[in-house]
Amino acid sequence: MTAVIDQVEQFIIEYIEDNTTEDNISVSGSSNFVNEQLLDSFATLSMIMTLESEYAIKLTPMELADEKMRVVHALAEKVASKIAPQ
Amino acid sequence: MTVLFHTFQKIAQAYHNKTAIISDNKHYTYQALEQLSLQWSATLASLSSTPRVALLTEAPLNTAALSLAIAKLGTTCVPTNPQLTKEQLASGWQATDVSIVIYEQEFSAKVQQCMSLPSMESVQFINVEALIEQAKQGSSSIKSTEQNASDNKHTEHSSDQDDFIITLSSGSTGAPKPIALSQQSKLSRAQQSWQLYDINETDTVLCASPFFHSLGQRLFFVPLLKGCTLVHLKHFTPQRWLLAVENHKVSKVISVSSHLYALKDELLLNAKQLQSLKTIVTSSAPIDNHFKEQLFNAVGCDFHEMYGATEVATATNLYPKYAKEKHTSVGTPCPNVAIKILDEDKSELPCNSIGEIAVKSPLVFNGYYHKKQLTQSSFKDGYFLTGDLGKIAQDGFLTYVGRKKDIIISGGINIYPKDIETTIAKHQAVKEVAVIGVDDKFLGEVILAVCVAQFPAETDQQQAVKSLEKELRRVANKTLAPFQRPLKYYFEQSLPLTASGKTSKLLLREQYNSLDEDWSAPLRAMLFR
Repeated sequence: MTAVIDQVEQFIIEYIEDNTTEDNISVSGSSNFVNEQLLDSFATLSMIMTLESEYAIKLTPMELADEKMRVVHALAEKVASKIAPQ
Repeated sequence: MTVLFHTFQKIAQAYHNKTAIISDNKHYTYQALEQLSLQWSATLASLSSTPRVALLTEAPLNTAALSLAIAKLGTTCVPTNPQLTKEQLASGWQATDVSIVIYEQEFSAKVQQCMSLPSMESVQFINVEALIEQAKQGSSSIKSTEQNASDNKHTEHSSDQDDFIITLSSGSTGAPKPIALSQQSKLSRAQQSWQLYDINETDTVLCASPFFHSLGQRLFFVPLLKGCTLVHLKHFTPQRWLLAVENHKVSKVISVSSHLYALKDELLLNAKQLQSLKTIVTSSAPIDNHFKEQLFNAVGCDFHEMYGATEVATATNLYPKYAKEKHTSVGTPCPNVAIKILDEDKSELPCNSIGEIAVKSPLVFNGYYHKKQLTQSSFKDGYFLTGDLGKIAQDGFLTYVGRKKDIIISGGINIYPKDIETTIAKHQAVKEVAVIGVDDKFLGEVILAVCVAQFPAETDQQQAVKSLEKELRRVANKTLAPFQRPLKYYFEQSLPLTASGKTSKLLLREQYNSLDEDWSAPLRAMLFR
């Protein structure tokens, strides 16, 4: 499970690094991409859609409303918990 | 007075034994076409002194002979789309003062419905079969000298600038616009195509568009006024298109982009059978330059990009020699054509700014029939306002961006679907794509991509669609700005088409708006819980 979480976390970090409008930032598992304004609205929405499609999962608005989901590691955990076991 | 007909007649006499039209493997000579048009012009003249004739015909011989007969009389022809409802047909004919409707047998049920409408009381409906019969009787009773005298009576008041063809545009909203063109304009437009695409009498030209569409009309008059052979395809499928090109050695094609979409892979797969093809003219089809190069290497066939509108004819041309360097452009203005880019206030914009494309051309239309105000408001200082968006680079090359109405406004940002469609269409499994905006209460609109995918037969289709979506998202994330990325991808068997064969985004928007989804709910949940 930890390996899956790590892999998802890495995926999210790379997505943020590729899509952030901020210069010279360092993204980690503890980054709060909403509060730190790393992504604009479109990039955030696109990230949610990308995660759903990449991992064949569905994130409900209720789940996303949890403030913890704004932090990279917590979001990765949520996604990993939904991935069907191989 | 009847310059288009006389041009045709000269050609028909020079090439009388040559095949003018091929349709359903039947060949018709120039002589046969000339004779039929002369007979029918006499018959029409005997019915009315100034017949205004609507055509509900699909057979190319009927369509060509009737339009030429009307040209001989110096009166007006209104090609009509048989797929319209009886009310739409009647309103189009009423708006253009049609006095006679000529129809083929297969449309008789539709005609019966129209005849029952009160507004159609004074309109005469004639079956093509009856016209043939009448022409036979008429030809035995009317001597040729009397025929000429009778013709003169009809043409003495007409000029080559009078309305000859009225095209009822299939506008996306509201009533159709009746676009009126003179015989002189139709002839000049044909001459423009001969010059731009180097068309001469040895060419064989394919027409896969209906005559009620301006491209269909162009594809009749361009070959028939030059002595070429016209190969006519009544209903387009990629297979029929390929067979027609192969069997009849077609050399020149002017195609709507939806046909080229459908043909994309087939062209390369069937390169050997398509060696006769010299030129394909496309109108901002999202076909990338790599594909054009491959086709050039396999078939030796050139691509011309063009931009135009029924009101102003072809406005730009991208010569094949610039295809690589200027692959996002539709070319530079044609000879004697001037183009400006205007802002919302109709003031000219500097280079590289996106605005409305305005065109000044000697091939301009006569106006919207009986719509003086609409005609006037469609021009600014002699430039026709196309309703299309584009930009002009410093070196004069025009880039077409999309329809003004096609813009998606999401989060206050103007988004042009064509950029997104071009990116998605590059994927080899995507046969067709339409990018649309659907209503969203938070963002105004959100972007959806509706795709037609194509996978090898043995593939698990459901799995393949899932993988394709994933791949398309990866491509979009890499090459498109976040605001350009489709929120959702949908996969359909086919896309709905308008009567003229373009993808109907109006229908797609209606279809997906009716899902009534709260598209941006995940975003709002995350940002503003």
